[in-house]
Amino acid sequence: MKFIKSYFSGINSTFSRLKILSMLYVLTLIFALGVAIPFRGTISADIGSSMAAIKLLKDFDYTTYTNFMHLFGDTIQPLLKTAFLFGILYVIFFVFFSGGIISSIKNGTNSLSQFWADSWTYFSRFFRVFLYSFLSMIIVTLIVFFPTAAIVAAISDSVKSEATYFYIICSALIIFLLLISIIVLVSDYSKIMMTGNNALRPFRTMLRAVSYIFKHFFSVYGMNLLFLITGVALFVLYNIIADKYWMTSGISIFIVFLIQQIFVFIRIFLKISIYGGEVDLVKKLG
Amino acid sequence: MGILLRKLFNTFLIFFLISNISLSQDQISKQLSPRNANYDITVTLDTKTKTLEGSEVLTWTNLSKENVYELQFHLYLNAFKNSNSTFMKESRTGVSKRNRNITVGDWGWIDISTMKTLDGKDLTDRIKFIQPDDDNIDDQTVISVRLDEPVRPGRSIQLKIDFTSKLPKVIARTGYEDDFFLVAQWFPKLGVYEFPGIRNATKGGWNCHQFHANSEFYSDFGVYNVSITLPDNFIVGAVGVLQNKKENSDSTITYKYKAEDAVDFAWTASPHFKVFVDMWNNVKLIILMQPEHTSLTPRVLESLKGSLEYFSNNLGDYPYPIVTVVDPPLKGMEAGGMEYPGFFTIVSLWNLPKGIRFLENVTVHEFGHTYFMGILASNEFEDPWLDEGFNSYYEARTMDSLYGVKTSYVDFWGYNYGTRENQRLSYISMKNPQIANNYRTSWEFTNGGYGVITYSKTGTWMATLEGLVGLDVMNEIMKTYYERWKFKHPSAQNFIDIVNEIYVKRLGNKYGKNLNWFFDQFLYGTAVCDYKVAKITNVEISQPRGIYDSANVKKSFKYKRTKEKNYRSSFLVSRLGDAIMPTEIEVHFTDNTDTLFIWDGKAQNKNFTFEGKKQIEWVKLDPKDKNLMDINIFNNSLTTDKKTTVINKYFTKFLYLVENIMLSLSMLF
Repeated sequence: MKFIKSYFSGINSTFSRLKILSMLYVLTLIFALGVAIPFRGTISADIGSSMAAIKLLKDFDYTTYTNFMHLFGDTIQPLLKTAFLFGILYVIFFVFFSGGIISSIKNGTNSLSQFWADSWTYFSRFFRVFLYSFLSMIIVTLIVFFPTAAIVAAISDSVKSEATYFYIICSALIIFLLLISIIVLVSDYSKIMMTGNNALRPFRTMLRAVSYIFKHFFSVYGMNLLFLITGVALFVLYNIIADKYWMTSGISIFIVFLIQQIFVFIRIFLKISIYGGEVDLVKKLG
Repeated sequence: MGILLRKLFNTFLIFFLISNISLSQDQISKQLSPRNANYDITVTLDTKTKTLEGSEVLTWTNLSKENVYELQFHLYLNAFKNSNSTFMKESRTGVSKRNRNITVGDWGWIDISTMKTLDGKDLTDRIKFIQPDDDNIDDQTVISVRLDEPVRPGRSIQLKIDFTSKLPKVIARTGYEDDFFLVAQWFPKLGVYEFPGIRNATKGGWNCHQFHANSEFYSDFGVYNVSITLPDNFIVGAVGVLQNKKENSDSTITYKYKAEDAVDFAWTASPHFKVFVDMWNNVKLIILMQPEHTSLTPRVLESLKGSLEYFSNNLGDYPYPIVTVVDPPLKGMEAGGMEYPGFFTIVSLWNLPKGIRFLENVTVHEFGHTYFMGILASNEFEDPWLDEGFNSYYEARTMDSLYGVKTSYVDFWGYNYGTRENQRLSYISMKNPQIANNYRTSWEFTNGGYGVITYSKTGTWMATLEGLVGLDVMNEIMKTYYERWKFKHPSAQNFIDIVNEIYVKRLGNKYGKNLNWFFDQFLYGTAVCDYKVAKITNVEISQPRGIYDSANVKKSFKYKRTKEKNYRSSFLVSRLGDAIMPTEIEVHFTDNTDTLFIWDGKAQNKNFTFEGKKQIEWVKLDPKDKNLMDINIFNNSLTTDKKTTVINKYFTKFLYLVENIMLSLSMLF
């Protein structure tokens, strides 16, 4: 099974790119702190000296939470908008860095200066890939959900079963996720192809990537599925570990903070590993 | 002479009524109510045209001490007859949120073809549409019928009324959806003749309001004998007990129901119901479920039995022999959540997760209406809070008792909250909690707020009243209210009188000579409650230094380093709202001691000072969360030691969330 070998190869290649990985983690943390620090300031000003918030320490408390949101929701709203903008900015940053990451994997280098240089080299092409992918996702959303709504409306007079509606909506959701995952794969493989042969036309490369993916669908999809399973397993593991700490004291909060940051680090590790696996798979499959 | 004659007449009247009641008890069963509005109805449902052909014999007894020259009836279905009925107009103008665009094919109406006395006197021409509430001439939901001969005190009149009712597509919890029928408010129904002694009446007169978008109903008690004929593939459920059923030669079936001491009669029919029968003590439980919802039946039964138990223990015995629960189909959900005596509809969804308990909640709530409306038959038009609000209060108590205070409404994937919490939230989250007071008719909520004020605010101030007087006293109040007013028409003042009576008996004058001030603020008024601990100060009391004259002797004081310090510790409480509530205050000191006392809550700003070797560490108002009317729980406490642990916890969680959202988005491209 070539895709399993590529999966491990991807993981191995990331271990030799710890400098890049660490830099990406720090950048991620800086971005997130850009929103989280103002959030802390807001809640500190709003509830800092009230005893009511203590009810939120042990567990979720609906009364406290909803009363807080009712009273201070207006001060939280701008933060959420800022978080959204930071999210978009971060995505663009990651598009920028993907050129550096893929080149580094392909060339077997771990130099930060080369990483930055490669990031700049591929950014305009990768950014166009990002725009095409984003557009494709919007189109997929429209072509899946409009027909689904039309089907539901058309059958609503004759179909009385609630289960039927559920299955129709679930089927649409599965189709939607499948198509989105293919767009993600096309985006990844286009970038790899462009880095390999220095292709200058992103759209044409994307079409080539589509044909490549469907030619090797089992391997390509199988490997990404493995990475997805790994991610889900880590998510479950995090929740199991985090549940053991009640976050009721400064020490337990700090421990959970460390665990959270380790998991964020691992997520970035996985993202680089996916590129590594994909590069390796292209080498193996040709 | 006149007085003597009147006394003799009254004695005769009382004797007549008592003997009549005794006779009835022997003949029928234990009579629980006055049974002064009795209906014998024969009806046939045409399931294709969604039409009912009916004939009713109404027997009404005049319980007042005066002659009654006119009868007034509700024709509720005419609310759905045209777009200019009061119901539809109010729906459009936003008085009610039950705004729905129904198409012309869905209109519903009711026509009376003949109305005669049993001795053959035709009154059909006397029928006149009246609009006692708003003079809207397009509204045909109330009729008046002038009588030739008055109905004398203690005497009865019998009328035979033939009518046709066209059911609307399910709207406002009546009508049809495909082959599902909820047949409610479907027959000509007499209003209530009120006279001194009933609610706020100062003289005799009909209380027969038009059907409003927000309003529900108000009726006298009676015995219903109803015979329903419809195609034989239909399964039927109804208020009361099935007496017999007979299959007819034309592929129809006739069900005969009898409901005693009931204020209304509604029924349902569908070929698809799955029928489940169970028992609770001597009460028969019939659950009519949609085929896809059968797996939810145990949940309905659990909450129903729990409700029967809770209401019986904490309010009064369940007096009817049966409870029928109806589960409407998805598309007929508009019929869900409606109540009649011992008969109600729920709302359920296929495979509804167990931790999401709106199914249980609606079961408890609608069951509760058999008490608050069915037995304690308040006027739902004029005092909607007396049934919906009180029922919401008991719904929260029952749900919290059955499923946990913090988990009764939702307990799903770590997210949980209780019914009482939910009710309080909807009140305190109002943009303008002073938009309307409780004490107004259902159609006077012209600026909105009907639902929250009537249901949630009442439920919340009832819970606050419970906090004020204690659960035991509250239970005594509610049990007394039930015992005195069951099968009657209680009013606000009837309830307040009982509250004051029990309060004085059990608590003396703990909060004043009565609790009228409470109702003045929260029932009749729109007072908003918000207390705040504004600041805490701990100031060291400086040691006396220098020369002091004492009894002509100069005494010198020097600073002593070793002496323990004394502090003047104080805190300021501010009343930000206009409501005044006695408030418990808990003060915690640095030596780990506490003090708890009650403040009358009257002053706009009140400073409390302590002197001693200890300093104040924190202050909590209402530490046991008794006052749920306080709209801001965050300013009810203050600490000198800023609680950074909570802030750090949520900062950490928020940071992790933002990181993950950013990474998840970046994974897509």
